[in-house]
Amino acid sequence: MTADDNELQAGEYVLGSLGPEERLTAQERIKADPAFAAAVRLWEGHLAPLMDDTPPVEPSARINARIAQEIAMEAAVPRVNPAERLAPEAYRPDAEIVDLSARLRRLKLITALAGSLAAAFAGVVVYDRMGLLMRAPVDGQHYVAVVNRDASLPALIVDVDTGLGELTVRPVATEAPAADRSLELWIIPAGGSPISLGVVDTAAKAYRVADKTGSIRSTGTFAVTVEPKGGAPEGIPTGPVVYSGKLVKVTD
Amino acid sequence: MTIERDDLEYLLHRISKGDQRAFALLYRLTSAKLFGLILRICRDRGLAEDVLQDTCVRIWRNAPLYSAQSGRPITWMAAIARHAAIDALRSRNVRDARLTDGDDAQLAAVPDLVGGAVDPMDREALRRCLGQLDAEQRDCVLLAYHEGLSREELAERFTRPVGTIKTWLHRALNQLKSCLGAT
Repeated sequence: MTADDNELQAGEYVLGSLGPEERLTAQERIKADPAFAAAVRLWEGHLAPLMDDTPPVEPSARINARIAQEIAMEAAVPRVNPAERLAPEAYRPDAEIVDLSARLRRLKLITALAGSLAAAFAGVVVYDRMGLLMRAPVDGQHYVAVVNRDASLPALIVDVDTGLGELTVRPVATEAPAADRSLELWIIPAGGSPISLGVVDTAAKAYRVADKTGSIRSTGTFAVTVEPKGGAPEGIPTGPVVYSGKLVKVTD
Repeated sequence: MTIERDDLEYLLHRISKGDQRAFALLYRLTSAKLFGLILRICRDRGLAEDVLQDTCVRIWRNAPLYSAQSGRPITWMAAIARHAAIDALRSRNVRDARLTDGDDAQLAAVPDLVGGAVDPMDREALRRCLGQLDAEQRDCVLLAYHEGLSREELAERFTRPVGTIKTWLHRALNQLKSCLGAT
């Protein structure tokens, strides 16, 4: 019994011998094609004993602390099962966003550093694209966060100007919530608790929010949760996180 | 002390409920294993640390998707770590980076807490089946798995055309499949 082309491609993906473009294709197939995903899992299982050939290496105390802090930030907002997040069909991307998405994918090919780094690069590209729409920064420091779902399509772009103490929120591809729900935007300062930045106006092209708390500095994570209509009643997030993204510095 | 499959499954289950202490324990048990795999692929300590952080966030976020069908917990986590490392490697030109002596010295004394998480029967079957491959094909498989070498890099290493490497890898995978399937 020999392996078919799909099984061989899955096997090479697991081995790590594919180039960046074929890896990206394989990763997309894992999400979309259950048979391919099963073939990948089978190879992961077959080859897993090889990992015992590699001796463990203790990470430094510094990186341990950095990761603990990162996980604390992840844990600061309520958990949601990734499988239960809003369905992708709910997206209604316009041409601009489709174009952005293609650019993000190409960018991911080059960087392929998922998570925060990919978001960071995406932030720069999106900023570049959105440059004409944005006001020039006035003194102060200027930051952008691309708020999205698992480093995919940007849903919101938050532009922070610490000089003006003001945020500009652009819901570029935000899904409208159910009629009895609102989306609420939160900033989670490093090591702190979420602070509400109000209900997201999904219909607006862009709107401004004053940074009343003065809590937005150079670091922080934005998260969008699903809340009862009008926002979380007690000022603390209660619903699932549907998007998140980190601040990236864009100018001095 | 080695960690059993059930322990890691329980911790992943707790993590899927947002339990940070469960994550801290999982990290203590598996981070050296995962970091070893990542470092061997990345070869650059700074890059490997970024990849470990990325891996941890992915494990935290995807814990609710883990199920028994995903395979053994350590296999599931190691796959996240290895693929994050390979993706990071492909995106950067760090092939020339080498571990410093200090790093090599640190490779020694860490106990493998999750060695028991892979079934000894599976290990024996794979060892036997790898033993049946041609030496060069086996080396290709091992270099790709352990160091994340691409077909192009393997072609350079073995001074063969890329097409030949692809044929070798496919032949090796085919042989492994039929050999492992027959056990």
